Amino acid sequence: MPDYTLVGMVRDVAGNPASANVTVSVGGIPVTAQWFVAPTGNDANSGSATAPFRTVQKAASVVNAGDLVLVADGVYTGGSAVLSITRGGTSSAPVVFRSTNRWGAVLDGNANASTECIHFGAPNVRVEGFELRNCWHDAVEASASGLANIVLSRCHIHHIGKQCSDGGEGRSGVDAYSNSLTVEGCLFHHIGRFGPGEDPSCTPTSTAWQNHDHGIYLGQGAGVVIRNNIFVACDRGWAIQRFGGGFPVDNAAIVNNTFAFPNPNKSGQIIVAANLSNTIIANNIFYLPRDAGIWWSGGSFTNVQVQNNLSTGPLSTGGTTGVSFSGNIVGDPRFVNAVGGDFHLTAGSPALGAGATLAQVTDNFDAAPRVGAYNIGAY
Amino acid sequence: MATPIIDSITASPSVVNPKGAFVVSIFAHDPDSRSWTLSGIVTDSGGNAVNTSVAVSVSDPLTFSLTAPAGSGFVITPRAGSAGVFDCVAP
Repeated sequence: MPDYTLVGMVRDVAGNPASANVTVSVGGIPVTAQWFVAPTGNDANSGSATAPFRTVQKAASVVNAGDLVLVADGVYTGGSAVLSITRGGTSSAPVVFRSTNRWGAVLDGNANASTECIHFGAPNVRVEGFELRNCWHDAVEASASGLANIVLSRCHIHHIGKQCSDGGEGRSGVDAYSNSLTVEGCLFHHIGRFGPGEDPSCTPTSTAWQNHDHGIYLGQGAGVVIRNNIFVACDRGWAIQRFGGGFPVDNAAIVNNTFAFPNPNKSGQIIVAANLSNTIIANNIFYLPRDAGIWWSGGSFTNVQVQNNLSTGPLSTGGTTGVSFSGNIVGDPRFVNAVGGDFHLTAGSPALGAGATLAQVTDNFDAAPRVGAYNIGAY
Repeated sequence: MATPIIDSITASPSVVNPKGAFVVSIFAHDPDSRSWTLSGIVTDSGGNAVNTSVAVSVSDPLTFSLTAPAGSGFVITPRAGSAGVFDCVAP
């Protein structure tokens, strides 16, 4: 779905100009029916634009292949999952849940009352533009049997798993066990349980808080694409953890992401601790990781290409048999304001135009088309 | 003469289907604008007086425009009588 930027201009009689932009998204997905959800709605309504539902869950209970659910700005809560999706579409006519304005519709776990913000229980579903927060286990659970063609696009995922816990469970932004899963243009931060002294006096008796909780827990799947995301301070584990024992991950692409700030307790912003094959890790920025950007911790690797990444220090650590490296660089990406959360690149950044041209990537975090030589990172 | 200030620009809806209609509204003001209150007094031959007042604002007339990326195919029409409002159709 392309976004377009329209430019509004105002001038006074002297010709002094002022301008501002507004973004309009134009859908390209065939829509069979549209359903509307709003905080002012009622689940007894018809779900039309003038009589919207109150809950996203109600819309999920009536959708069919090709339907579009438009969710107005507001906070939505729910049960064990704020949104449990059990009615999917087809590969050519997915069901689409869309926040009318990016990050305007919030799926809120209600202070960890909900286990998951979104539970994918059916294939061929696309979710766009939501803010997901305050769920105790996962923001997105995508591990049901038979899942495929799942897209999580341009979401804001934060404050997930924020409890004081010694448990061995892995809390995550996205629990990924789906084929053809795409996670794109999302912002991840504050993922994982409390550490010592937080909230305000958490006193863990195990070290689970150091490494059990992740931005994306990549457990299984063929054709997974993780692109144009920003991961900030995933310090209760890793931004991306490839784990899952004997479950395969094949033909994955981890491309044009920005990883910022370390887990002080563990090496790497990506950990690969299980088998990986036919996978590309390219055009990513690894900003201030501990020790290295990628920790090859375990598993066997076949045809894994690591290319055109930028790291502020060493790119990888651990055994790399089966992994090839090319075009990677070391340097300061020269963000606009990393501490302030602005990871746009400034003039003179070595990431500008230094990326590989990738078929998996056509736009950036702002949904602006990538033209010319690709930048490294999410912008 | 200071540059105009754009208070907001919104598209409603901001997500549309192809060929879908939407409205862009721009709200702006002139930082040089000033307002006065003028008072009027009417007195009859008996000396009975009635006061009234009216507010007068003086500001530059502002002109509004809206443009889409070249070749994108948007149709943009300023709404007559509603400065800063544009009726649009997506490509």
